[in-house]
Amino acid sequence: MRQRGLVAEVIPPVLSLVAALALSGLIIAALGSSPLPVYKALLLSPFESLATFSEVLVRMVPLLLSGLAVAVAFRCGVFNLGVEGQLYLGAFAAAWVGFALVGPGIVLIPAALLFGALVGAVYAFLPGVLRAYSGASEIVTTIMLNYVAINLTTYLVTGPFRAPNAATADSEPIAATAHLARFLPESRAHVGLFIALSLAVGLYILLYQTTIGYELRMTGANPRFAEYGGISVRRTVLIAMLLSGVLAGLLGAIEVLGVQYRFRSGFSPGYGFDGITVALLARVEPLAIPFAAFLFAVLRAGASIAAVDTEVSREVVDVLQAIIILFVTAEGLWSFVRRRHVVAAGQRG
Amino acid sequence: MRMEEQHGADVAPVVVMRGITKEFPGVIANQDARFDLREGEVHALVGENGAGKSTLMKILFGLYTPDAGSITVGGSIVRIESPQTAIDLGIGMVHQHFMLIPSLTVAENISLGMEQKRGPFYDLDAAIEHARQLSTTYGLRVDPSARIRDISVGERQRVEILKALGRGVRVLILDEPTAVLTPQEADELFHVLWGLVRQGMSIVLITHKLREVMNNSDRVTVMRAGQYVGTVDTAATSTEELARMMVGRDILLRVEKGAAQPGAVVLQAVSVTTDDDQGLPAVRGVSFEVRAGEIYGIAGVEGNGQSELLEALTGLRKTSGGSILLNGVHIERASARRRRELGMAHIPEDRLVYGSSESSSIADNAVIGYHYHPPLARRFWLATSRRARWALDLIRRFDIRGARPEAPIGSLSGGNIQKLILAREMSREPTLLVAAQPTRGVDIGAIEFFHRKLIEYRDAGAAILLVSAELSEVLALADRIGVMFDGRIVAEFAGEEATEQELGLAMLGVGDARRASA
Amino acid sequence: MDDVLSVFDTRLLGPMLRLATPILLAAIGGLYTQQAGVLNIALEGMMLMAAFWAAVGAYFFQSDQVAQNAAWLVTLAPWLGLLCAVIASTLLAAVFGLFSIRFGADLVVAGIAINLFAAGGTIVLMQRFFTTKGSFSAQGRLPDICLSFLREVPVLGELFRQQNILLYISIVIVVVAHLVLYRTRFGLRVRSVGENPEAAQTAGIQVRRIQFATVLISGVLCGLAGANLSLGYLGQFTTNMTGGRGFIALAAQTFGGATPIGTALASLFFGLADAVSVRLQTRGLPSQFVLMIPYVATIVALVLVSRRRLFHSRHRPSVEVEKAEATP
Repeated sequence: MRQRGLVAEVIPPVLSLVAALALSGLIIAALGSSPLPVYKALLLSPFESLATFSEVLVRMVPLLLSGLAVAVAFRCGVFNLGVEGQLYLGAFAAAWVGFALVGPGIVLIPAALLFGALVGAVYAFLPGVLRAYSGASEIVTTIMLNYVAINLTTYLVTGPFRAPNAATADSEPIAATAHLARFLPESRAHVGLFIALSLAVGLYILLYQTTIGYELRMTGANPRFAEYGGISVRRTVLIAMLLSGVLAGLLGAIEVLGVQYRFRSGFSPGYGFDGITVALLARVEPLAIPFAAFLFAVLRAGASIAAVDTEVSREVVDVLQAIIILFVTAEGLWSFVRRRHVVAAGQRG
Repeated sequence: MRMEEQHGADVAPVVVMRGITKEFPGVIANQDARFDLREGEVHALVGENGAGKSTLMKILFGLYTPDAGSITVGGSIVRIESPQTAIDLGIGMVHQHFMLIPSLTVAENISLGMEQKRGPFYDLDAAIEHARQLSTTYGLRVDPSARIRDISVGERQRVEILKALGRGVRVLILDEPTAVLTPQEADELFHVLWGLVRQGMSIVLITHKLREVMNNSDRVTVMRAGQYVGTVDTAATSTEELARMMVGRDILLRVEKGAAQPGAVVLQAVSVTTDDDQGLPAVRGVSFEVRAGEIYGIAGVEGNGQSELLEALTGLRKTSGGSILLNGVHIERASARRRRELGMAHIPEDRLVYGSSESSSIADNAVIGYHYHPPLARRFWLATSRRARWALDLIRRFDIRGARPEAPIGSLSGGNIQKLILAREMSREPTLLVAAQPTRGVDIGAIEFFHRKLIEYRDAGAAILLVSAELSEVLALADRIGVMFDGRIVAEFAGEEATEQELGLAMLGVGDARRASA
Repeated sequence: MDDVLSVFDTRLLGPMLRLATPILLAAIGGLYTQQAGVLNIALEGMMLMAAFWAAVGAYFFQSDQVAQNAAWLVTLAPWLGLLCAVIASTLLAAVFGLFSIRFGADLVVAGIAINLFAAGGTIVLMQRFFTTKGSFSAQGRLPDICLSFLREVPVLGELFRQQNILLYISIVIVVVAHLVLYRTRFGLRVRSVGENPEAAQTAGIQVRRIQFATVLISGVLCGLAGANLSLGYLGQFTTNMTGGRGFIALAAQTFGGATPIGTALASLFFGLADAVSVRLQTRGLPSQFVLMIPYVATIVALVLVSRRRLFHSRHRPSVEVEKAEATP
């Protein structure tokens, strides 16, 4: 673990959350709504019943996976802003396995997940190669590739793979055997959650217990140091992008197998970008990411309820996220916490 | 050892610095340092690399704010928060690494920050005229319309001086101004500086070249390890006395070592060439060899291709020609990792950029390069507990105080970081150790420690390539010495026969007597 | 093959200019910050916010409410919309500058936050004001300016047919940007800050202040760019109507070699890609493929220009995190 002490690690995110909530409360009030009912809907209503809580668990899965996908690239010093595009392709790949092939779940599900992960990885590999070998900034290329992926998958389900009598641009439904099992009665909560949680643990192990993870962290911390130590920075960046793409592809696949049961064009409300906030709020630590994902899942689920109960639409969570990102990353704002902590930790020289 | 001289108290000091303390993460750069500057003098500020001279003057110029201490300029206490404040107080600085904008012209650089306008536009003609005027007034020849990136280092330095003079400064600080100059250019510079002094200007000359100090200063202040040692009249001192003040004791750098027992050739460089970052040739055909059981030193004025040569040897820079052999194996195209596997270890020039990762733990820093090998790893798995023990072992053996494996390496002092790097690089018993500026910015005690370790390691049969800007270090340690000038090794000496004088001449590219070594 | 080539004729020129204008305006904004060493990812969000407020402003100033109280404002409605856009976008730029330059947030991350804020904020506001999440009409748009004397000239006539005032403004802005960057004191300082912030600082220049100023300029220009999207031709605002144009603008600035003239030419290239894309949609090709054209063109352009630069700096270790760092 990076050693900065728990206090210095935890205080800024918590203060950021509080500040962001206060600020968005002001915005809500400025729009003529009372902030309190909105807060209540956002933060409390998801806990009112098992049904609403299980929705939190459903929403948590993509947020968690997206957070991991962003984090693995971040830790290597690369910005993968293309999780959105990668998850669309992964989702379509998994859906294709689900509707084009038949077989028992024990075969179909792993096949769909693997194919989704593979396609996501290949799509993330592309900007990785461009970055490593031509120096084209991955920040712009990944964003551009998002638009390409969204258009491509929309084409696939409006053209060649459109379900014959579907009203919207949807693929045919996947085989029932390919559905992920649900684990709570009367709810959509599915075992994808456990896959995602184990991937968080997996990423932790990868980063801190394996040589690849070590090379990844060193490349992110100081690429010149890594190069000096015989680590191929190019290769490591490519690996990080591949891993990021695998996680993004799995995200898409799990959404299809666990929730959608078919490929719908435009099904993601921006999971790929939510992952950035989740990862940053968790200070890019894999084991903290599930908690950040849970928090945002609560907010997302709450926002849907708030949209019904109040006149504030659910995109207010995007605004909230933006403010959280700004506060969490503004080192200068929290330097007083750090400084105090450094003095307390003492022993230098 | 206080040598504050008594007479001359009638001349008012223009600058008085007292009790200056400045700490950076991991390094105390200045501790209770002091400095006085009188009107109309050239005051040399000397000390070894890392003694805190530049830091002290950067504080005076407002680039750093001190953690403690007071500064008096012209009789009143001041707070210098930015270079702008310093300039307003009449203090200018010519930095070791020039503070110029390469794509802009000489005139534009001189006028930057105090540009004149004509209507809404920048008045380029006025800037050119101003530059020309300054140039003639002070006798510093420059072409106002030339771009900085197209002119020579000497010219760039003149632009820097004019930049300060154009702001009407009365105090001019020059940081190692001759490091990048040829002897002729250096003479010319001092000629100009004395001319400025005659006009009432006061000059601070930061340097570690004692000969220069003896010929070109009124007074000398010596610093050591961030602290003030003393101030003496140049006329009343000698290089020997200054040297003693700088290093603190006479015996330092007289490393106890026996004669080398050279064995087989370990590293062989044949006509190696490589380019610098701008794509210009930096190393123009360097050949030498290092044998087992000897230390081969490379001396030279910085910027003569040593850094690029090192990077080429260690796999951080592509060669453009020639070959490099390590224990008989061609490695000029091998990766840094392959070179390590073949027995090369490397103490890099810049310990914070290449040698360590500040925010990572000491354990993470202690294993790089060997992190994928047993016993530190088995296949893909890091052996975490063994790694911690490994780090603890290095910490203990190299006496790195206050270090815990899980703490970030940035919490250590510069000397201790360097110790960890040395420990790491020696840990796998390489056949070749490349050590670049191994003791730069390291405290005196640690320097002796490093030197002892290097000699011990040589005696154990390793080949060591030592590159240092410190002539004294090369002289003390090396069994054979190659002098680099303008991308070439221009002379080679046997260690015990070389004198500082001969080496100095060769470093300036004048003594081209290539001697065969023992 | 003939069919493909027949896409290219002089009738593409008008749409090309029209579609290049918003990219160009934002790209010049990005150019100012880039010259000062600030990587500006927030162009996209600032443009989107501007597009929204332009439409809201235009809509508001010709509503019955305003018409009853100050009828003279109604004729100015599109212009007031433009003003709203510039104000909104500049405020957002100020927030971006505050958090990144003043408080030291990572430029890329702060930029992402600004984009997210704009994407979410415009929807929240649209829902609140217009109870819709799709699009709303501004009830008007900026007037076209027809240069009648050019109408009969073969190529120029096509170029300047049905162009609104912002095209002409953007041409002026390119010239002004050239003059500001290369002929004024401010420009000299911007370039020195971007090239060597430490040197600029020792020359007594307030580095952060200069960087902040360029961020504000990019805010103003993104204001114009966004207004052009919503009030230029469509007269309406649509959710996420920028569609990555902020990033394309960033690429245009890079592709154009970080000079105003080069950026203008690069923007024309991307405008052409956009125009071809629009044209091909009427040719029976699957619209999704056609819609990819501008994005693919951007990637190709970036790879071309980056390869060239990489060649020049091939001696550096391969990868470093690209961050334009503000000096402490």
